[in-house]
Parts: sequence; C-alpha cells; structure tokens
Amino acid sequence: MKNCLIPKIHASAYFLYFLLAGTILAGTTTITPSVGTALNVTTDGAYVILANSQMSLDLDTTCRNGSENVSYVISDQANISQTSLTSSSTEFKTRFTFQPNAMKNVNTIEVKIVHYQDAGKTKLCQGGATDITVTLLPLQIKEIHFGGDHYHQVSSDSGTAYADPQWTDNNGDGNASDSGEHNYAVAYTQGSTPKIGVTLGLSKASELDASFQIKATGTGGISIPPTDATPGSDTLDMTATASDTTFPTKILYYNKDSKDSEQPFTLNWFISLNGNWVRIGAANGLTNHTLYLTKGDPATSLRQETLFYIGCKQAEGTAGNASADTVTGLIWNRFASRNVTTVDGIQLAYYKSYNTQVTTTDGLLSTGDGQCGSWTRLFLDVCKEQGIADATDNFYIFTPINGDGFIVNNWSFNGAGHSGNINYPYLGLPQLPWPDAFFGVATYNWRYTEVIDEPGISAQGTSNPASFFNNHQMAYINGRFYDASYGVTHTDVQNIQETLAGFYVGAVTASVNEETVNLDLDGDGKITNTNVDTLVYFFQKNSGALNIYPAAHFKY
Amino acid sequence: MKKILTIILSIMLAISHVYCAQKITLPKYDKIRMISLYTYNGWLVEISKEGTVKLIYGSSPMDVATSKAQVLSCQEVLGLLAPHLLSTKTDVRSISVTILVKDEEQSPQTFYLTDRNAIAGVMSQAIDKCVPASPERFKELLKKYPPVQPDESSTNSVKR
Repeated sequence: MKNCLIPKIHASAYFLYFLLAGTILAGTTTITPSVGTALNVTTDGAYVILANSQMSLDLDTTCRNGSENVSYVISDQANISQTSLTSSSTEFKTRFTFQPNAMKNVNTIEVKIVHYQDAGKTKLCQGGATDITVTLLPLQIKEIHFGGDHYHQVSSDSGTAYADPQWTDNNGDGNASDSGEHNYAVAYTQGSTPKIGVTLGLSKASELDASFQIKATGTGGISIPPTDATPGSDTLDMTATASDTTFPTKILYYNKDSKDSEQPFTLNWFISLNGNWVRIGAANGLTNHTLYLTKGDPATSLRQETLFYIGCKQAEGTAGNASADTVTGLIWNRFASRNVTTVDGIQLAYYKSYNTQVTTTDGLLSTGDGQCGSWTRLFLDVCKEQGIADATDNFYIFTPINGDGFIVNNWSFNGAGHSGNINYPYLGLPQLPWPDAFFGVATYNWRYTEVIDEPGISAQGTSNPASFFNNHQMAYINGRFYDASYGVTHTDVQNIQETLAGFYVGAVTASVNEETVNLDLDGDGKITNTNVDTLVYFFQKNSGALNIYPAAHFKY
Repeated sequence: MKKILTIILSIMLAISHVYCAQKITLPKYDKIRMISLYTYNGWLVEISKEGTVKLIYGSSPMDVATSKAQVLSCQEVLGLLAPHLLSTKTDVRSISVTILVKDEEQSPQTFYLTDRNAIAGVMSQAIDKCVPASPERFKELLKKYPPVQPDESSTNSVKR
C-alpha cells in the first residue's frame, strides 16, 4: 500500500473533506456536489461555492515513491493557479488557488488530478485519477432599493420617476452603467434614517441549505445592520432595512460620478455565511450613488433632479438647522451667477428664443429655455425642494399702469419721434403678418422703427434675451424682489422700473403718413399718401415716473 | 326634517362666520383704474376703466388676446365678484384679484376668491370677447392650461 500513489485532499480550516474511494486503479471518479445536498456551502462574496471546495485546495500525495509523476489538468488555467508546496521523493504537495473574482462567468471549474506510474519504473503503484468538480454560483448585486420615511423619489428633468429599484446591474459586472441598467439619484431629508435593501443574484438560491445575512455600511456613517436574506428562485433578498444611524444633519450632495471633487455616496456590501463576512460582488462590494440630503421635506410636488441638484450643491455642507434665509441666499447665488445648469450640465436660458411659451418649472427644465414665469417658479421650486416655503405672497407680476407693455434695457430712440402721439412719440411698424413675422427667434422685425433693440442686459444663458413684454414676473422674499431671469434683486418697484427702457401701446391700427416711414403702405406704388391705416406700435421713453404695478401677487 | 334644518343652519352659520371674519372694503367704482384677475395656472385678465379687456398668458406679447372695444365694465366685474372676494387667502389656489385705483396715494388692493362660478363668469366673457394676437398659439394655450382648473372648481370661498 505504501507504494500506491493515492492523492488526497487535506481537510483544514479552509479545506473540506474530499471523498476518495480508496485506491483508484483506473479511470476517474468524479464527485459532483448536488445543489441542496449541503455538502458544503461557502462564499467568497463573488461566488457561492458548493461542495468540496473553498478558495484553495491542497493536493498531497503522501505515498509518493520518488519516481512517480503527478500531474493535473485544469479546465480554466487562467483562473486557477498552482503553487508547489512540497516536492520530495516521498511527497508531492501542491495548492490550487481559485481566483473567483476573475471567473465571473464561470460556473464550474474542474481540476483533474492524474497520477500514474512512470513507465520503466518499478510498479509500485497503479495509476489513478480523480476529478474534482467545484460548482461556483456567481453572486452579484442586481438591485438596490432605497426607502424610508423621509425618502423622496426623484424624477428626471423630463419627469420620468426614478422608481424602485434605484440601482440595477443586469450583467453582474459590478456597475449600473450598461445598456438597460440604471443608477438613479435618491434624496432624503438631512438627519433622517434611510431604509436600504438589496437583491442579489444567486442561481437556485432557494435550493441551498444555507442561511445568509447581508449588511452594508455607507458614506456618512450609514450602517445597515446584519439582516437575514430571503432566498428566491434565483435571488437573495434583503428587504429595505433601517440604518442603525442617521444621515448627517447637513445639506449634502453626493455625486456618483465624483466630478469636481464631489464624492459619491458609497455603500459597502457584505454577505455572511456562518459568520464569515465577505464583500459581495464583482466590484468588491462597492456601489456608488448620487444622493441628495435636503434641509427639510420638500414643499412641492415636483421632484425633478435638477431642483435637488441646484439646492443641495449650492448649500452643500450647510447645517440642517440653518435659517431659511441662509439657504435661500446660497441658492440665489447660483441664479445671480447667470449660469444655472441642469444636473446634466445643460445651461438654462431666459427667452433665448423670443417665441418661447414656457412658463413652468418643468417646462424650463425639459426644454432649457423659458419665460420669466418659468424662472421665477424654478427659483421658488428649488427653495421648496429644500422645504423652504414662504408663508407670504412670493410671486409678483408687474404690468404697466399706462400702456400695453414695456421694453427692457437696452433700446435706443431715434430723435424726437414721428408718431404724432404726444404720450408715445416714437413709432414702430412691425413686419407683417403680425405677430408671427414680427417676433423672430432672436430679433424683432420692423418695416419701420424709431426704437432700436440694442445689446441687452445679460440674462440667464444669454447676453441678449427678448426684451419686449406685456409683463414681468419675479419672486418676492422677505421684502426683496428676486428677478431670477436676470439674476438680480430689487429693493422696490421703482428699482424694478429702472431696468426698463420704455413703454409701448400696441399693436394697434393707426394712420401713418407714407413719407414719414418711406413705405408704400397701401400698395398703390407711391409713397406720398397720408393717413394710411396700418398696424403700429407707439413708444415712450421711461421717464422715471412710476408706471408699473403688481397686477397680481400670490403665494406660489 | 329636523336634521335637514340643523344642517342648513350650520351652513348658514359657517357662511356668516366667513363673511364676518373676512369683511372687505372695496374702492369706489369711480376710483378704479384697472381690475386684474390672476389664476393660479398662469392666466391674467385685465379690465381697464374704459371697459377693454386683455387676456394674457405668460409675458410674451404673442400670447395676448384683447377686446377691441368696451366689453366689460369694472363696475360690472366688481359687482359679479364682490360677494365672493376675501381679504385673505383661504386656499393656495385662490385667484388673486388686484384692483388698481386712480389715487396714486393708494396702493393696489388685492383680494382673493375661489368661487368657481364667479371665476368662470369673468373668464368665459374674456375668452369670448377677446381676439388673440396669434390664434393658433392661443388655442393651444387654452387647451394646455385651462383658465379654470378642476381643483379650483372643487373649492368654494365660503364652503370650506
């Protein structure tokens, strides 16, 4: 018996008993663990390893007689390394080390040990062979679920809800950035307790005779305690579980993409089988998320991500109990910069197209361009997303007291004007058909005019926005007007009027002398007719006398 | 029967309570220069002292409808609205009614109402009697942002 070459597998702390059927004279013996037989189940986090294997196998041929050879065949040499431990005349001992993190798509690794009598040597031992089959079941994080009492479901700027599961990895590569996967932003009120759950992919999980626990730690001290996982047919689920700790009591912005020194909200996932905690999945158990911590529960039903993004980025690090004024001021700084961008980096604009009809926050976020009403609402909605809701009227609409509308700086006026109207001496004949031909995308088109639209006051996303309006809308907070369209504040109504170049009446039909405007208005081929009815605007310069009033104000 | 009478009495008391709590003083008609109604969903109606009406959405002059002549007097509008005007808001979606008076010493006065019939009466007249600058754009706006929203119609200024 001494001369028989019989391999055996050492049983050790990391090693499982390997059944050998005595001396094997020929052929092979394969031990194929059956799922559910619970021969042995272990996990290294990347795999659940069934039956007779852990991370390493030691092969020890203790009855070697110097001359015998021992060899082995490995089905996936790239992922199993071999280290010779002992090689003497009496013993051959080697170690096979599995590299499961590199074997994410491999279910079964086969190690074939072949030992035989070297021809020409004394036949001390019959050859034999043993196959070891190790079944590796890939373990991957497939879904992550966020919830809790102060969890706020974010939506895209176009309004698509970022529903549960907020993180999905379909192909098990450890990230949620491939086609068909998503990594949605999530939002909570600062200082609140999140509930976070996870779904792991594990084939035939319900057939395994094993109990798993899952836990996680997260940025900012978040700690999801060890929680029993529930096996499904091909999943292990940990339901959304409350953290042992709360979020920091600060307004914070975590960016999954770590741009501009921003940090992601990182979760470290662990799984345990029999108390041995190991990291889960292909990315070493790490998942990165965009997470917003707001000052308070949102006071608006809107959940577009940019509303969270602007507020949390601007007030990043501000104490949760800071005053509403403080946070409003920090948010306003973004609007004052006239460089308001969406979370996707798109700069939003004010009346970049003179024809925009957008008056709402969601319209501005989805189209990128909007009127003063949309900018006022955007500013107030960013504040409301932080839970800041002014109890007083905070939305004002100014219209002229006299006249149909006003023109905003800068406009020049030619001479003294030829309209013949004492109050509105300057004349403009809009291009026909009015209004479509008059209001161009970025110009006002005239047949004749004594008022010239000069490069204007810079506004959001444009240096020369539209400047011809029937009213103007802005926010009002604590005694100050916030004109988000231009990123400026005003102390009073007179101050607002100073931004106006003049007022107009029109478009109305009025009699015009053709010679005055040098146009053949009636189409008779001559420019000599007087009092020809045509469509006109009349203008007056802003004299400084108060001529605007709040036609409406209300609590938005 | 007794139960019905009790309910009616309760409603009357509630109405009485609201009116007492929100008693308002309106300016005299001859002092009124302009009445503006602003609906929560973005429509502004302006009735001038001359009786012309403008229906405005947003701030673009393209989205304005105007009446060519006197179609609604301030007196008529105020008469229609007065029983429903409140000095303070009772609902976030209240319509604000601003009355600009001639006297420059006096600031514009703002009131609120949520009564569906009162709002619909003025709005429908404004829509009927005003000619849009750009009819197609205006038609789309009316369709997209109905001047009287359903949730406004479900509230009443006196029955809370």
